[in-house]
Amino acid sequence: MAYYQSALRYHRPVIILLLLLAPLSFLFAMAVGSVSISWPQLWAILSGHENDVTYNLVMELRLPRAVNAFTTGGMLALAGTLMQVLLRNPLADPYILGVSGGASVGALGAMLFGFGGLWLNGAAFCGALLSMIMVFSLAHGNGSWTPTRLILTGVVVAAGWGALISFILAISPNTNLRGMLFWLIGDLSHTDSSSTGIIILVIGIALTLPMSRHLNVLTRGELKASALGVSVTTLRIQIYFIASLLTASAVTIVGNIGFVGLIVPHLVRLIVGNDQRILIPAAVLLGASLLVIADTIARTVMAPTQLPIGVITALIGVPVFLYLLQRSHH
Amino acid sequence: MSLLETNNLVVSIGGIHVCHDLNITIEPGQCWGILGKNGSGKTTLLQTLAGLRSPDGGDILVKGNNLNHMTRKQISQCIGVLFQDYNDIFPSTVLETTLIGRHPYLNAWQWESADDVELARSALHQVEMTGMESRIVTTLSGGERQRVEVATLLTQDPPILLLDEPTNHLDLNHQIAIIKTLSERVTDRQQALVMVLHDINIAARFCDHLILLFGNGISQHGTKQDMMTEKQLEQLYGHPIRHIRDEGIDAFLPA
Repeated sequence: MAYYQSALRYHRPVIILLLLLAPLSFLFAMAVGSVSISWPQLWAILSGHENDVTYNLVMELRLPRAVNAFTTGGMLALAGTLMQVLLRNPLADPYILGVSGGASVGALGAMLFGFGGLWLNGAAFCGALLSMIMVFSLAHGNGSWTPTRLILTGVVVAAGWGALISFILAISPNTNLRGMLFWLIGDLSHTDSSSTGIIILVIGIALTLPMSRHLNVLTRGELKASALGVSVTTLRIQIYFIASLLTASAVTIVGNIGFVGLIVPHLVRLIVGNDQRILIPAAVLLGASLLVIADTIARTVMAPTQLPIGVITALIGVPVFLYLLQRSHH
Repeated sequence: MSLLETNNLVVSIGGIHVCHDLNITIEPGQCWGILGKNGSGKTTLLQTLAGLRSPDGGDILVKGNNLNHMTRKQISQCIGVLFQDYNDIFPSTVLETTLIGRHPYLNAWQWESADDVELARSALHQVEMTGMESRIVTTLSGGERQRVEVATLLTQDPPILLLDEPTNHLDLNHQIAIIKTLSERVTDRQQALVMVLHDINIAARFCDHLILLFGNGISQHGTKQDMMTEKQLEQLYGHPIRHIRDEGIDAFLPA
């Protein structure tokens, strides 16, 4: 039996579960909320038979929001997986190299000067790109581009952004603070439906999957990977840019949602192992579905107050992760 | 045609010369050892031969092709390297780790075939790791982990094997068994073996040619008979050495 057949057979239950989880999370997101929608009603809406207020509620509010949660969750999980391989560090997450710090400074700066909407998104994305290019060129130095150098440069640049964020928060008028704070912990309530996100996620997956066996080899270390035919520097630069652009897009769409990018790759690794060819699609699916569910909970559990989604992702993720970690030691 | 050849190879690291104008020709079926004191550049020379670092001068030819003109993938189909150390950041199984050796032969979307899995299993069998395929590598002992690395190299199955201290972490029986497996394989398949060794007696028993690195860029190479004399080895290690011969086995002991 070829290796992929045995691997797929071995992981079949998990793969089926993840494939089911995605549509289920969407149904959950569409049915649950301030106005509860019954399954027959939902079925009617989805098949286009109902044409009233609930139709608009589901198709124009809940569905786009779920789509955004799904794409950003997938992006963050993918970016986190890539960063952990790139830096060969299990503590790495999409934000570790300062991309989100740059985006936050851009977004908060825009809010400070009263810009909103597309301007805010543009400022966030520009900030993320600036940070990404800055870290890349500073870490390059005199030719050596090692994970250690990269992580040190990234962490220091991120700390710089952190200081600027605090500065902007300190000088902002009180009326702006709540919006800023929500942006910083991640917020899906103001986002418009964005097909750009889906396209970027699909491109990210399409670029990553063919290099996923290379990533397996790269986890073995730089020299070993070179000796097995991997052009290490080229691969690292590719991963860096793919992961950073995914992070930049995710942060631009929803702000900083913590935890998904760090924990989802580990969670999936504990279940399906460390073969990136299975790990990457599984992480994308789980991250995406998890964020849809978390966002639904965030907007309903204390309704009408909407909780920041980052609170929910952490509250779900921490116990589940700790449970799996305990179990895996036996 | 020779498998591996150097033309006036100059290697240095951190301003220290390893070798100067080294001209060696490694023919199929030969087993070479690299000996020298700590810091004389044995590993550096091995990695240069593997194309993992650039020489300061000269050329390396693999089956007559200049290493500079080959892609990493082409090189990895000709040269396999066993490294001194490995650090496993994420857990994976013994079988997965061994199958990594097939990477050079697969294209982007390809998965390992049933034959590849069979190759990995038989490599694990050769290093006495049968039955451990689904163990997680981070839970293995140092010696077991080293044997998985050897199995990965056997799965890669390149014509040129470069080993950096292959007996690291191994107990006596496995030291002999593994070097014996490798050197017999090289003879049978007319491949080439180059090993950095600390143990003179392993070199005396399994190598037919040696490169001695004296430090400061001075090196000598030749057949075992020419290289392995008390006088040469004393000069190499800066310590008196006694040569004992018993039932056809050469042994060198520090005096």
